[in-house]
Amino acid sequence: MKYEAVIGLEVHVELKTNTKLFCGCRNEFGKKPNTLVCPVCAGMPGTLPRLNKEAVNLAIKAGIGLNCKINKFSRFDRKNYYYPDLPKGYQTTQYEMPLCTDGYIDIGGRKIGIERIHLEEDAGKLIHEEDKTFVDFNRSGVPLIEIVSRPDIRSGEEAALYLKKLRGILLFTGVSDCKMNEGSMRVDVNVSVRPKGLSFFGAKTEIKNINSFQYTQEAIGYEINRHIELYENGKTPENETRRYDEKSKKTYTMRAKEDSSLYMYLPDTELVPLDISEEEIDEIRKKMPLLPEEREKMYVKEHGLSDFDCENILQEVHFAEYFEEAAKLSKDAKNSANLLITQIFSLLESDKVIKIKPLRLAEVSNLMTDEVINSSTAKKLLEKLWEEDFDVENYVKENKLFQINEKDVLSRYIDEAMEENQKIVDDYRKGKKKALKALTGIVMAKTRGRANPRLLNTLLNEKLG
Amino acid sequence: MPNRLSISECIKLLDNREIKVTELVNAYLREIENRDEEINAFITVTKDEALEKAEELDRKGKRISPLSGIPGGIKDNICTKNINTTCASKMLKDFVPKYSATVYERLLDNDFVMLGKLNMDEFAIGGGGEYSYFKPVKNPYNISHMAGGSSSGSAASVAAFECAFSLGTDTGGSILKPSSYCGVVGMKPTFGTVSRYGVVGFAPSLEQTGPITRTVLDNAIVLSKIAGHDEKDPCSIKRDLDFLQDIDKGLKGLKIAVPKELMDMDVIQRDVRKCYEKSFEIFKELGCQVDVVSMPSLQYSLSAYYAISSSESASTLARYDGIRYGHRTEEYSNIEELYEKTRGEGFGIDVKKRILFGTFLLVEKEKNYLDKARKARTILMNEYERLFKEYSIVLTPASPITAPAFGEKQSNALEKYYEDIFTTPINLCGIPALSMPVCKDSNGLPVGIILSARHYDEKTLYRFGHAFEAARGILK
Repeated sequence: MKYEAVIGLEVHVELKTNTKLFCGCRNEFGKKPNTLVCPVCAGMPGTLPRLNKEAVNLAIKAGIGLNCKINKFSRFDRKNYYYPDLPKGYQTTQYEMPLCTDGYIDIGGRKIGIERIHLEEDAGKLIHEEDKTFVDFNRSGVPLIEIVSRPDIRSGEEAALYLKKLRGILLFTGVSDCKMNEGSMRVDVNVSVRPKGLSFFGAKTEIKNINSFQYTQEAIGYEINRHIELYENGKTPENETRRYDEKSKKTYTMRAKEDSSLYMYLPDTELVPLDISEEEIDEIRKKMPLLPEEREKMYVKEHGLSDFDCENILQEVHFAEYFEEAAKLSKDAKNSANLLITQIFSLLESDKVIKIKPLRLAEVSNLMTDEVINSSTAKKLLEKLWEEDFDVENYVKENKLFQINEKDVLSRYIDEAMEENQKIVDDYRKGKKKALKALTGIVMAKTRGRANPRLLNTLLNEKLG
Repeated sequence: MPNRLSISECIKLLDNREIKVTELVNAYLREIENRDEEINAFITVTKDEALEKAEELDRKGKRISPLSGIPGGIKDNICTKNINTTCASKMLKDFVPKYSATVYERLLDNDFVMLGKLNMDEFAIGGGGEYSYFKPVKNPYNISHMAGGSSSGSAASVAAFECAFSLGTDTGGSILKPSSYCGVVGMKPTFGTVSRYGVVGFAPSLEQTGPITRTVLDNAIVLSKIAGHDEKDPCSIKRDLDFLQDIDKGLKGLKIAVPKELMDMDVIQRDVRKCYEKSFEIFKELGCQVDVVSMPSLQYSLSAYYAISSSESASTLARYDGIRYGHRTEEYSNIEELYEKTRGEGFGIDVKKRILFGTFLLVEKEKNYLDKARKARTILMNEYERLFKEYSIVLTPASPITAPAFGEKQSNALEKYYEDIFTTPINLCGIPALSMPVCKDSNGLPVGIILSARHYDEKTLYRFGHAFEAARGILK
């Protein structure tokens, strides 16, 4: 029998606001435990939530970026459960009437539906030390959106593609920094399998808190196979929550699936329902930044970039902004993109900060375009610029790094090299084509890397006959 | 004895420097000392702070507000920075907040003198005043009877001349009912008029804080100072706050609605009915027209109220888990046991009943109890709206009975719920209501009425109340 997987993703994303969702505490990661806490986010008696408009606006931005309908009327509900990191004994979320509904992400020709995006608060964090457990409420009340896809995904690969696109949109709209390692993006997966062509749903398992796109893909692949195997053996998978173990690359049972009625959802009447006007939504729509897809189109059309270039540059917002800034100043933006990807990206450290001004990249790139310097000089210049900033043209002049474009000058270097390395010349003439490369290297070294590579190649071929 | 004076009388004396704040405060503190051991209206008396403040005000001389130098008490579910706020519960018996409720801050800004924290039914759940973890509140008119609840200490302290005024909170009659049992004037303002921030509630969609006083005018004076928009409360509204503007206008030609359905109820005691009908006569003499009208959906209000308030309480009271503050059980081996034992030990019986009932309603989704309750609420609101197009106020008894005696057999819980028949529709609809005494029953216990009006129309309630009070004369 042929099977088909039915996959839906629930993605939690922390919003990049200055303050928490319902109080004035700062929304920051990695601060000393319980230093970003007030009576409201600690759930003290009698305190009341006060909605952060900035969070609502970011959630609307996400909704627009993900092609959703923005609901003018939405409401907050309480999801009740007991856990030490949940100070009020309930999470304030949107259950019955979410802010955004009915969107989609295009994953290259196929649209994956988005059922809803709702706004909610994060819980605190437990810290286990030896036999004690501590609670840190710094994260309590941090604004989140949950993006729930429709069960339109059919494979782990599609899921990874969906997540990549989703991350790009959220990054470029400034909704979230989507750092999986800091927990500002968290993925839950629902997987079921059914005979291909049928429309019912098979038994569903949920895999919680997977912390990379690759693991998501792997976990889904594993889970699909596990389900199929069970069906093939006449068994049915349990409806349950599982976790993915990255080392064994397998999923394991965590607990039986909760029934949503146990959460005792009810409207949160401490807050008034959200009432958003058409004008407010239009205002946000007008200020939407260019999304990755629109940028990609622009890069291809205006600068002749390849898919590979686009994918690399659109990994991070500041990469894209950097490129766009440099491209504006470049005579050949494609060349600048090449330098950015092959040279500059290889210098990046874990913070991903580019320590060269976009202007300097453009200067280096332009000198290459004008054949004033060659690529190996460009590489050296960029390495140097990474350490300290300087005016590229002056530096090239002062250090005489001009490319040697004069035929007679270069010929002299070649002759010298051939004389000194007769054996290599002989090897070449005996048919050892690799020897050409060695000679090129020698001439480059003699010219301190300044030879015009095309001219060098032509001349060497001529001389070696 | 200056503590027998009304606030408006005190204001005159203080303005004319005929009395010192210290004298006034001492009179109240003496009354508390003499009387409260019996009444149990106070949980915490802030004697030293009160005297210190009185001396400071006397030194300063300048009165910045009508409430300057006026001694008052605060229900113990209203957070008062650095002063115990127990909600009359074992759960919070040692809880000292590091923040204040907005209402309390407003009073402090008006230079009132804080006398202390007032006893109540635990977490404002309960209607008699007997469900305090510490001690039951007794009715100053007859200490073998209850004071009514949940703002039992707030009503009893004012009736016993232990406070010039108090703040209570009202979720389903918790200001209106004890006010009537204790023969004082209580106001439940329009939802959103007084900030809820820092008030420990259990059913946020129903709650309001309001003043309890001995006269209608006093009540309007206090409300004027505690009401007003507060950005810390999302449901707080910007509105007209002049509650005194119509108070002396008289009642000629105004129309009063009397719901037929409530008049017909056989749970109403004979004396209550007599006093209620007597109030019609007084209003008629003042030039009002009293019409019997039909409000068929009033019959749903008790069920709707208990469904909504219980379900909200099951969630709102979840934060008392023993993790961050309040009571925590001594011994436990895992987190579930910590929760179970902490909550089992920390909450009293009435609170537990409400939480269990609310939990049941929230889990039993198929029966749609809550949807039905919300629908009933809407229907009720429409009915009031229709009535208020024609009538200035709706007039009902405050309770079918007068203050019950302690230990009086109550055959079942449902019967007890009936005490709230006249008050619950008011909270469900968020309209303002004034409770005030008419006369006494054959046992000498006060009998009260409730006047309710359209949203934001407290000034009309004070107008009616003020005229009625003058016509009624001293409570007999």
